[in-house]
Amino acid sequence: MHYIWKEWKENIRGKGLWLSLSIIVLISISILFRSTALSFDKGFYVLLINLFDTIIYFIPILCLFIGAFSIFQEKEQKTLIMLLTKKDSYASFLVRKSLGLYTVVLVPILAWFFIYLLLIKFNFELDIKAYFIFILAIVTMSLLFLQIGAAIGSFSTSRMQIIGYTIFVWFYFFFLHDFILLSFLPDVTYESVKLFSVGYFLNPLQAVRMFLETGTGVYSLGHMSRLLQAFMWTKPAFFLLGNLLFWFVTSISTAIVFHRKEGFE
Amino acid sequence: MITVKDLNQSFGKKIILESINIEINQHEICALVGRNGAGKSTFINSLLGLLPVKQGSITIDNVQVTKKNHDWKKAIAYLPEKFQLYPMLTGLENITFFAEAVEKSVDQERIEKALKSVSLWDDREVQVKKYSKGMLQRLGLAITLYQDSSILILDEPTSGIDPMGRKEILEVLKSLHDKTILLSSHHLDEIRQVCTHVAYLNNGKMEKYTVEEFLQTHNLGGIES
Repeated sequence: MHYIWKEWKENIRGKGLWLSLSIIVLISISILFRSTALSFDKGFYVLLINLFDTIIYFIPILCLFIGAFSIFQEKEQKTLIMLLTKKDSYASFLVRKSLGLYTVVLVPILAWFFIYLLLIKFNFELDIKAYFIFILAIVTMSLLFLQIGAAIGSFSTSRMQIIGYTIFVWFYFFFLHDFILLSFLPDVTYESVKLFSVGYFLNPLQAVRMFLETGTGVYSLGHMSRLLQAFMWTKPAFFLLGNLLFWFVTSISTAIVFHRKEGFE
Repeated sequence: MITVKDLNQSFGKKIILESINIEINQHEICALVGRNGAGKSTFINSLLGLLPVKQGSITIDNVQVTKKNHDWKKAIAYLPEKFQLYPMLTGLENITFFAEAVEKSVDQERIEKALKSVSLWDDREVQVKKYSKGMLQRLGLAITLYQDSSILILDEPTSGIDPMGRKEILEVLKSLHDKTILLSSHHLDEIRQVCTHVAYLNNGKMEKYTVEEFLQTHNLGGIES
């Protein structure tokens, strides 16, 4: 709990968090203004998908930077070494610090999207379930990229390294992952499509998008070809859950194994 | 008490510490002295359990430093060189955070006592980013004092601090009669003022002297700083 309080006080007194939040606020308000011409009964879903398609570019990179710099600062300020020489191990430090980061990032985001819901109410017919799925998609994406960011902060030895790794991770998930899979696409058969789908949904952005689009009813899983049915061999929520578990375990274990303490080398 | 027996540390083929044998007894204030790159940080990191001890042994208050057993950590408080703490938090919030990291229930009286002992009680509500280097260093000392460990390991506690700030820190150190202190330092005058012994690290070997012996042996008696 004391990590959460510390993280909260540190961040609400700094500029980084407010700057990040203001980007999300500005984007969502501008999308809302652009959507006012949409119909009252169906516009809500279009707004959610448009909003998601826009903030998907910002939230991952913001969370990667917040996670990475937050861990790196603990090394730079020598507070990490002070904590490790007492009760904490790196694993326990990472877990507590991560919980603090989740709170710091999610509380303002959730608060904003609650206010945003009230603003939407004046323009569109609400579907609370769809909005809840949208929030869940945003929360999952934020947690996942914060944890990957924490791993980057753990093994990086300089701020330049953090910037390099973060841009690479962002670029990989936005472009490279799909390009790599595209090169395998001609060889995908009915027998191998399950493996291809595992690779495809290892990209958190694809898993989150599929979860949101099917959850809000924008993308229907009915009337699919046999190949596509084999591709979607489990529910989108399970793909997302599997993705979340995979990247959590990978990020945390990478951070624990490869972390570098100041003055250690 | 710190007991080091036959400690060897090397990085690849480079030997950093070679057969180190030293005892730092209770209530001694021992300066850790050596040229830059002599292995002072490696020695300190070994004491703190941050570097695995592959050859030799380290005992802190009769408990051996191992990866599995962390009982020895209670006896040690460490203050690194050039630390910054959490600049957006106040002095009081910083010490409270570190206190909570050590124990479940924080003793407010001990926090007050620790802050008063370093003359920071009146500045406790000021954000650390507004502290001078000397104040920051004193806050670091207060954090280690709260932990109530019998052994303090201080890595260049007066590094980069103006003469007045240095004087204040040395005064605090001099008042800690019930602690065993290992103090890494490059300043002869502060070694003269505060320390009882010197652990001199040279070419991977370590020798322990009284301060007078060290100054005589190395012809440093006439040098001021």
